[in-house]
Amino acid sequence: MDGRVEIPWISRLGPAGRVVYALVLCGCASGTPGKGGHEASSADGRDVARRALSPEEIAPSIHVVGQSDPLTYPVEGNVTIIVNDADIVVVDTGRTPRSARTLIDAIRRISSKPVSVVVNTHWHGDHHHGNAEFVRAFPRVDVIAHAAAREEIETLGRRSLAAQIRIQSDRAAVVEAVESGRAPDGRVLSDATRYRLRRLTELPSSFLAELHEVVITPPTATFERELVMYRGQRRIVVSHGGPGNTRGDAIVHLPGEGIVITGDLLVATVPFMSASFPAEWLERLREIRALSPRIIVPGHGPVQRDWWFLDTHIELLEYVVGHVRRGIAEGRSLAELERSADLSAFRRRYARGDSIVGLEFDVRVGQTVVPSAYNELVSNGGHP
Amino acid sequence: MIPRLGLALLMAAFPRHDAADPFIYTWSEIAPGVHVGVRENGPRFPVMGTTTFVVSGEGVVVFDGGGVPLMSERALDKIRSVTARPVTHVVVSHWHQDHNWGIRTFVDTFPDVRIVAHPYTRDALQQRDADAVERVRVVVERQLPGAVEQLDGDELGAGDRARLETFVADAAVIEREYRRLEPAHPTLTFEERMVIHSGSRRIELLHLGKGNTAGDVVMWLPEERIVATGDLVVRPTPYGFGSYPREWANTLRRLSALDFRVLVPGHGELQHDARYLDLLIETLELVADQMQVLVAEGLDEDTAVDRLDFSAVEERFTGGDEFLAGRFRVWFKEPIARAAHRIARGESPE
Repeated sequence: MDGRVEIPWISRLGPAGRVVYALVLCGCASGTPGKGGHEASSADGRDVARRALSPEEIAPSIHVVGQSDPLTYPVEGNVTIIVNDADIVVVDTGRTPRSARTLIDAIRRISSKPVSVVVNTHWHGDHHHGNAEFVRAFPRVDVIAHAAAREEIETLGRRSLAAQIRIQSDRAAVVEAVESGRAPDGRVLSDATRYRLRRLTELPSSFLAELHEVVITPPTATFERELVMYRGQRRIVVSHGGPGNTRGDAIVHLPGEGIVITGDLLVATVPFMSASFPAEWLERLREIRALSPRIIVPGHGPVQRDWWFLDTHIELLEYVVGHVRRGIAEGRSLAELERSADLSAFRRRYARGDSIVGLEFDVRVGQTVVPSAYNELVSNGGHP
Repeated sequence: MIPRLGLALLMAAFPRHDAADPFIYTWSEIAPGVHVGVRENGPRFPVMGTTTFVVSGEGVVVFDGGGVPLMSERALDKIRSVTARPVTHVVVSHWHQDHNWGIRTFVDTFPDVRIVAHPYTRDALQQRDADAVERVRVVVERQLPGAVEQLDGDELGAGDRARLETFVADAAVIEREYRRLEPAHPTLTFEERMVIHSGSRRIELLHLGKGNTAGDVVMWLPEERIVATGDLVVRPTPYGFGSYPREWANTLRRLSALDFRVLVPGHGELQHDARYLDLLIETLELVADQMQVLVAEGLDEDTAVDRLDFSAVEERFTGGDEFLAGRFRVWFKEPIARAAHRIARGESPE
């Protein structure tokens, strides 16, 4: 072992428990209820509203399809549609084939040009589960991602999908954990974890069928550092500076329009920090900032025309990385570092008084960012 | 300048060479679905880059798609003779136009084909092509009268005579091709590495460093152990125009590290081992090392170029053959020496 911490109790979990914990950690299985509270009883009704059907044209010929409420169940990644002279380039393809079909309909209403390229920003399923539908609708489409993202789609992506299916197939076990407040091994679950698990059981009943329809369709082309597509005067720059949210994050930069599409490197609710690389992520955000984007399309949440989320993510990571680096240099344990980290101010800033967003912060940041930073930095004595 | 009608009459006056024109590929399938088309690299003008194409379940990837429209059309004919699948990617190994001036054929036939290259290559083509296309339109017009005149005299050796006769016979076709050029430029660029997953095939495009140009890209098929190198490797004698000797040697070392079974050079015979690569590395380092010393001694370009000593390696390229020695001098020794001097002065060689 190289000093990385094996989170203690996961090693004692049985398969179901690991699945549950993995879903909690990966944060990609679900979202949260709307700000007004969880409308569990009308989950099927809300299903229809999960994706805004009217794309927002954020610049001439560039459209974003997001969720009208980014905290809706199940979470869907934002999709960007770039219409060029003779073709369309799409960034990310949605969470299920059904969702992708809705997307494709929306695209066809915008333009009849063929989609020639899909870019997947990273391996989380809500960004690429729709790939197969795009291939079906546009048989010669190229699906491009970073080389590491392709590997992760093949490995983590398949495992995550299987885990989501198992959860949805046996909600009773999860309900049990929520109600008892204990994981299968008896360990007490935090409020945030219980909240999250409850959300997992409240997905619409159709969701399991949608998950079964997913055919993982890995990218057909990968790049390492930068790949540029030329469309007349427009350049579409797909780049990877290093790990961040995942190992294979790609951003898409449109220098002519001043737009940066960030994938989950930037999320305009709370960042998803489980199993991430905080020190590297900080560098990625600085690189994005150095592009001086006029418009930022986050992985989730409304399109941004200022840098509030960008700067707040940076500050959060600066704090955590500094805290963990100092702690490692002083020989502190992960448990000590978790105890001594004070994220309360950040929680307030992100939550803005909304208790649900606060719980989301606890799940996606509070429980995950310090362990992620510790694992990233400890084997190098505090350096990435 | 001879008027065009006169040109036609002149050309009709000379017997046709037995091959119809200089734009003919000889094809071989070096692995299932991997086809290489070579235009022999002898004295026939103009030289044309080798074309390689890879067929998979999803489509066809072409590496260097032809140096004039006729070659691209013939490459497409060959592709169609082996598969009905579309060409999805045309890779441009480097900007020298004998490797890519015909590829609009692929764009016209497959409107969504991706033309893939290193960013340097795209920039170079964008900057150079317009002027180059203009210049080359009149190449035959300018050179033909001189060729005819020389053939009229009796000072030519047999080799030169044959070469000029061939040129005169080919002139009409060459001129036609050069006058219908419509270059198509890369639409997708990458740095370092791009991997195309086509069906079950893995096709790696690698930029291993500067070499023949600043943007050289090779195509590596790891399972089939085949690498197509563009002009990083040319047989029997290399081309040294605007090149980067020391970096080229390092790039060839990285190329060597690929465990290839077959190496497809940009021109010339297929290689099945690394011996020629080793010779190239030795030669390029010889150039770089010597030029470093000559520049340190303060010698100007012409003097330094004169002093460069290739005797340790020259015969291993030319085997004493007079034509090859001439090629080696004009297409390698002189230009690579000038390039090395420019680099040593802190300038770009290209």
